[in-house]
Amino acid sequence: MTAQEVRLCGLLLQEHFGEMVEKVGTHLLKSGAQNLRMILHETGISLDLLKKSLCVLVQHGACVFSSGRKGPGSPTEYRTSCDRILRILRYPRYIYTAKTLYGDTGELIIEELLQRGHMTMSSTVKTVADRLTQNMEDGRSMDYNDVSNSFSNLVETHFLQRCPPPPRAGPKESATPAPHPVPGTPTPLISTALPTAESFPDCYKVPHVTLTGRGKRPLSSEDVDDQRNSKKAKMDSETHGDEGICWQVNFERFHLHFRDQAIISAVANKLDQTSSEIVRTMLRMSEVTTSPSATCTKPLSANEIFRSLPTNYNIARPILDQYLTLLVDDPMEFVGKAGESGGGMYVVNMHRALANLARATLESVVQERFGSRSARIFRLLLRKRHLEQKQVEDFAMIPAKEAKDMLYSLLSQNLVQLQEVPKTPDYAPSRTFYLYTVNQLPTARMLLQNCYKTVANLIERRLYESKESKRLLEKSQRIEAILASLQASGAEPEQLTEVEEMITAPEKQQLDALRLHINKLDSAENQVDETIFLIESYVNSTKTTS
Amino acid sequence: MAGKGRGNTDFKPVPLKAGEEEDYMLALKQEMRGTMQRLPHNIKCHANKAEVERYTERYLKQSQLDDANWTPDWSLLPKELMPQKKKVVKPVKKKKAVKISRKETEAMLTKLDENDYIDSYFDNGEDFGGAGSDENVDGEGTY
Repeated sequence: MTAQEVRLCGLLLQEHFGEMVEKVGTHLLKSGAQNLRMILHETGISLDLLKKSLCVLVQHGACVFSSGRKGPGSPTEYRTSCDRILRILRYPRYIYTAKTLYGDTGELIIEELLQRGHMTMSSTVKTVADRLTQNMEDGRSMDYNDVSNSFSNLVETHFLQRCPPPPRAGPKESATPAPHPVPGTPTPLISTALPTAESFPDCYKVPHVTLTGRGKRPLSSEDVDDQRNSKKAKMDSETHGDEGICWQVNFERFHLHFRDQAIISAVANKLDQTSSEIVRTMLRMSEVTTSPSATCTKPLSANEIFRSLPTNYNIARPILDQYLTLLVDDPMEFVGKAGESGGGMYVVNMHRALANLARATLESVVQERFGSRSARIFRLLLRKRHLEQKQVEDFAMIPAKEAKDMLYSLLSQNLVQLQEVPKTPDYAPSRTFYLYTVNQLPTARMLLQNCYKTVANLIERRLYESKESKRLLEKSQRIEAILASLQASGAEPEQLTEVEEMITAPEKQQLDALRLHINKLDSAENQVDETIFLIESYVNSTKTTS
Repeated sequence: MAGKGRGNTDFKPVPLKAGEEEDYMLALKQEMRGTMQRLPHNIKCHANKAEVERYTERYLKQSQLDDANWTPDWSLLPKELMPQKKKVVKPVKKKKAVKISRKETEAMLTKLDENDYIDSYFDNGEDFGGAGSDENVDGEGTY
């Protein structure tokens, strides 16, 4: 992991889990796998706080533990990786997607699970039902069954999955059963590859849960004290048959959805709505038959596609064929032709699409930072691979002096590389080809690191802005709290105005400006994460090219 | 980009996207941050805790303090992370308890250092199952 990744992870941990967890998490990121004693020694944190921090990290999947590398006798080792922590940036997108697919219920289920790391189905259902009930009209409440159904839907479509059972080994326990026992091969060392949630067959099995009832409204403050004791006793003794079965959000499934969305909207932007509907149909038909890392979908015949189009899309069969031809011919290569049977066999080229989307992102970055003529040079070099200075000037139709300037700017920012090809063994400059080149994958990686740095900068700036106005923010929070409690106890309007006026006009202006800045910085984080997702998807797709 | 930033201000940055979707996600993000900072997962250092409690005690609802004691599902966590003695303590006492355990920790660590335990532990790969390491793991339990 790079320094930028570690820095960003540290900030995310600090913002959501506090300084203590950040300290432990960052230490583990830098040190690799360690056991409890080593972490204690190297961080100097008290054992109590260290244990709590590790619990929090494990609870949220940011840290995994396994028996030590030296075999069943050695102490538990903890390890953290950047990937899971960086996902925190994407939480709003996961929640929003759940809302669009499964409504408010789905939205709250995902939100609760993201906030808590993992939970049993029964506690999730109860908490979500309570939250939904709070927002309903008086007298109405949410039935547990409805929430359970939404939960099951999310599991069926793999957006939720069971947490992998913990490794059973401990220092005192006997031999650990390996997750995938290989017959006939003795394994003296525990493999360092940890089983994923999907290595377990029950990963998407909804447990039989006895859960009947409705959501409850929060009680008013007078009822709380006497109710709390009796209620707590009752709640604790209720079991629903799914203790120990914890659920977590399946990020990879959301990522597949985002990838499909990106492809569909790119088609809509480049071509038209109908083309994007055709591609959406093809992707929908391929959901269960295509593996997540596949280069393209299984071939679909034009006949099948025609039959599967949404019923409100009345296009004639020959028109569909025309659209498919258009899609195949488009330079973005979203759709490819795989054969002639069945009226033509077509595939969606996922990896090609991702590569092209990443390329478009790179080109856009160059254009916005260096201007459209530099972008022209950049695109040229991407297409033509290696060009000499003179060729760049000619192909890009840019005068020599300016072309040279632009190339050197791009070169200094490492967006373009220079390759020397000698004509003679002595590398004499007059007898050497100097070729400019752009390599998409390394450039994309560099841009990705840049994005991590950008988000870290955004967060730090936001923290700085808040800190600068800390006293004012606290004053405004106090006044809001006073107002809230006055309103609840039925105060006169004059009293309320008096309290409101405790904030002066210039202070109010300052607060408004602060709010605007913070919103901008937060929103920018969300939007940079969209770029991060695209480039990460592209980079990951190159690793699994089969 | 990579390398020293030369603050190229020839081209202004593209404005942020703005719309319903962006606004909703902004609100989600800020709410999530606020909520997670109030959950017991967010471990505050004791200095901050005093400030926070001043306001929470006086103005915020009781229900928000309920979450303060979080018990994770121990079946999913390694046994060694369990606190040895669960005490219900007031914040002032808690501070003392932490201090004591830190002193104990430091004493333990210097004792371990004297034994050169840490070095020998990793050197003797073949001894890992032996009695020595088991005993010291027990010793940790007294924290």
